[in-house]
Amino acid sequence: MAAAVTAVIVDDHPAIVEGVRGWCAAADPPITVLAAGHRPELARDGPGAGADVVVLDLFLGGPAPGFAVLRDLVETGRRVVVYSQDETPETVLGCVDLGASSYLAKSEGAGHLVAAVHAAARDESYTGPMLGGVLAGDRRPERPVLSARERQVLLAWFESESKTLVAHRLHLSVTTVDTYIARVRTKYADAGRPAPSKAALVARALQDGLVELSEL
Amino acid sequence: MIRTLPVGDAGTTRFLDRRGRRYAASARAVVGILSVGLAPFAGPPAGPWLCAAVAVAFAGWNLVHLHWARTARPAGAGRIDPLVVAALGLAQPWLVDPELVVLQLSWVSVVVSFTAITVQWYRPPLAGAVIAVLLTAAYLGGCLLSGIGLAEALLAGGGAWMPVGALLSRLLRVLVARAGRDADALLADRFARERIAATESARRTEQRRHWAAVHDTAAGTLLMVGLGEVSGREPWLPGQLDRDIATLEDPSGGPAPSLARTVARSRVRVHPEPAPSYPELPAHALTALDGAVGEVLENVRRHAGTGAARLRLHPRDGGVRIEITDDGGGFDPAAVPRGRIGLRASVAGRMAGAGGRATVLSAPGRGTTVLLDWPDPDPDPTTATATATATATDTGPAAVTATGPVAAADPAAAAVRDPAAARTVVPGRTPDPETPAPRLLRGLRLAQSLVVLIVIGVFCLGNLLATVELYPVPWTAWIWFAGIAAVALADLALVRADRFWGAARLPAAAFVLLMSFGATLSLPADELVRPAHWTLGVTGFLGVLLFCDRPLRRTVGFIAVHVALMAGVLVVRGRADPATLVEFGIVVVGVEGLHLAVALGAVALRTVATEATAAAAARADVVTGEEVAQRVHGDREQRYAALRAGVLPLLRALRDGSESPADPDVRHRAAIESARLRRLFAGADDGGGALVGELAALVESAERRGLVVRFAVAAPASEPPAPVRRVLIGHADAMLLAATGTARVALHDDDGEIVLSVLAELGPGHTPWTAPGDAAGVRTAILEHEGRTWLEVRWQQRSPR
Repeated sequence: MAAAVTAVIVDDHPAIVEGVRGWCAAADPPITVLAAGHRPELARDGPGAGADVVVLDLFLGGPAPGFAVLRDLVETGRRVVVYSQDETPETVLGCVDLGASSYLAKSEGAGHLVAAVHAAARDESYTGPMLGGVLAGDRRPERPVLSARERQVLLAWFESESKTLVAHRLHLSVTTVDTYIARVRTKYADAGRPAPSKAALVARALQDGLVELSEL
Repeated sequence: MIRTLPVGDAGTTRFLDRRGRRYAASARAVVGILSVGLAPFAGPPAGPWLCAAVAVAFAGWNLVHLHWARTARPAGAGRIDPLVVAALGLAQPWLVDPELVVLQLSWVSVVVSFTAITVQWYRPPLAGAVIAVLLTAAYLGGCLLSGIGLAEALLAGGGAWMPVGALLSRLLRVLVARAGRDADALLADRFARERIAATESARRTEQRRHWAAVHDTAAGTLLMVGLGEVSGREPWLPGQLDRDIATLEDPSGGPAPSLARTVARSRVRVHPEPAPSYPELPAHALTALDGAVGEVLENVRRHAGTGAARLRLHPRDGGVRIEITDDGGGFDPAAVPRGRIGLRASVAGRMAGAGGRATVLSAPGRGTTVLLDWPDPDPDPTTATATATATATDTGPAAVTATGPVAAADPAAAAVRDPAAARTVVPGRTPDPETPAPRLLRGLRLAQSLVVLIVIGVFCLGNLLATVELYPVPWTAWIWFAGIAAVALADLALVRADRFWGAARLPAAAFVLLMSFGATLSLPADELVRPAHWTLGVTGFLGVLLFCDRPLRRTVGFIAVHVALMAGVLVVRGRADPATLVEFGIVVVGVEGLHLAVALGAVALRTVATEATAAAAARADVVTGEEVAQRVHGDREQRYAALRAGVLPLLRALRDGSESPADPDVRHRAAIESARLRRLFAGADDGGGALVGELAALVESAERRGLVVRFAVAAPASEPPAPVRRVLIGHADAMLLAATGTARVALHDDDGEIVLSVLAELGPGHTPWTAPGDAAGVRTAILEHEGRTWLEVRWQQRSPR
């Protein structure tokens, strides 16, 4: 019996807040929403300060992404699931570099937000299909080197949104699919800028046998 | 040889001036030094020692002259040189045996004539003409002093050739200069278009971001209604629906720009904290300033390396100056070629478009300061233009300072300054100036061909008529002459037909060498270094014609073979004595130097022409890209209008209670409209090209049939050709037609391979799925699992080998 996970929702859209609350309540194990609203301070002060996970809308009332808010949260050791309408690779990769545990598109919320929050609470990353597609298509010179198999898994995940289908098609077990996806994130955590959550991600990956020390 | 040209700012013309001077002076120095090396051995009346002294002095002078040309110091050397050579011409009675002069074997004649020719490449036309006349007069004067008659000096002594050669050289120079100017015009035009495209692209991005932010609110509401997370009884729902409806009805309204928010959004630490507020300014000025500040901070983040900046705000009378400084690496603005573009266009473009100005100051190791002024403190078109242009420059590290005046006629700068004007310059509708490269190359070839025909028809024929009785079998002389003249005429015909020698080149070259060799063998050994041996001097010219479109080393190779053959004949026929070899050397240096100089002119022109053609091609790319982007943007605007027509009634019905979020049909419609809203504002600002556009249209039509489609585009796919696109779309269409419920369409680029994936539950009667056959190099793979069908279509852009 896992302990209940706590979360704080920072989003300026009441319908989104309502929807996320609904998914959290129905989650297993349940996710307790300690606070919700449109101000980033909710995650720093008051009941939200103690939440395991911050669900963050990247666009709080403006046309430009709120990278500074994400950076401040990550630098104070918070685990952040970015939940945003913006699917442009620059924004998504920027958030991954800053140390977000996950980046989900708004349309992916219903299927993946709960899994992402649970993963973040365990100090693990979670890669949704959209993020998988962006990581597989990353052409920046500083990107980590992915193996052919890792790219294959990421792209199949992006195409199908179903790990069962990916496993079936590539003749793998669902656990192995998860392992490949997690390894990619570990590589990104290793290549990205130093962030408190990076060490945690790497430590966790070592613990789970996803990577060997010699690979780091 | 020449690999790259500096670009912009009449770079090609400057390049030609500089290179022209260097080539001409180098050729002159080589010919001059080689000639004087032979001088003391050519029977000088004043004795070999005096002649050697003169030769050494003249060789030294050639080096001084060459140094002047290379360092581009147009001091006295340039003016003195013709006088030095003219003095050499007048000194002929002491330097050269008059016997050799009338046999065209005077090294002074070679030097004087070569100077008259090369000087045309680094002096203006009038000076060039005066120098040519002066040199010819000095040469003829020298001949007269040697006791040679004027007619003999003109014809047998080669005096008539000097002005003619100078004139032909000038003709070549003029042609090359014209090619350079045309190339410059093309390059300037290319940069103008690139800047316009960059500015327009920045404008579209800004607009799309604005729309996305404003309409995200309606998309969010509809998303949750579609997912069944909204019951319809929530207390916040009416207020939210009112806001959604209001923003959709007035898409222009957005939140007021706030400096503090822009700073907070940047990933840069900005001092002071908190950031000051913008003063009261017109909305368009604030929007431009806010966007420019965001871009500058982004630039600091990416290039300064410090992640920190200082921001100061100086209110001015009715305006403001914002100063953003970083202590990063900085850069040398002079090292960044003007005409390069990049993200900076968005700063300069934004400010200029709102009647402001952006100025960037930087130096290596001194950090970078950006000044954003509104309104433009100096709205004089010339200087303001300079700022906008210079700031629209970016090659990576930071930007470029606005220094020095820039031609006010620069169309790019004018366009950056006024985006409205830029929009009226619709690429593709302005008539494209013809690419000048082929026309100019043809002009050069025509000039070369005519030069050679004149040389053959006038000088060679004259020589031959005067000497034909020296041939043991005179009529054979005419065979060789006819053969070589025929090749020159054939070249002229090819030029007129706009063709090159191609496969006939090597046979023709062999034929020319054969004719030349035949003429050599028909002559008595005594005449081998005499005017009667006319092929010795003209054969190299035919090599210049034949290898005109090939690398210079081919021409050089041809000439080397010719010279080696002639030298071989001298040796075999026992004329390898020093006197004959000196005479032979003088002839070879004189004529082949001239041939190589002409070939060099062709190389220079060809380089310029290639560059101009590349510029034209690049410009065409920019024009096409911009046209596609504009069309995509126009489509987006149209679809957006249609979308409002679909979304607004649904929101209003939810607001007034005539429709309930609990109704599955309403949820279905909400899910579809939400997906359409998101899709409209997601993805690349300039669209993803034709394939993405066609897929989006396909998805739209599937949605009209009631299917919920999730459409995802990862890394922008490269554009497949139309037949491949049709096959890809055909697969997706067949799948979506058979699908029920929810489908996912995904497009990505897997290392140069375009992958289109459609995942759907197929309706009854459609399983098992049979994919249409593979066509146009497209491969398909099908997977069925747990009632879902997954089709993957791949197309490899490049063949693997």
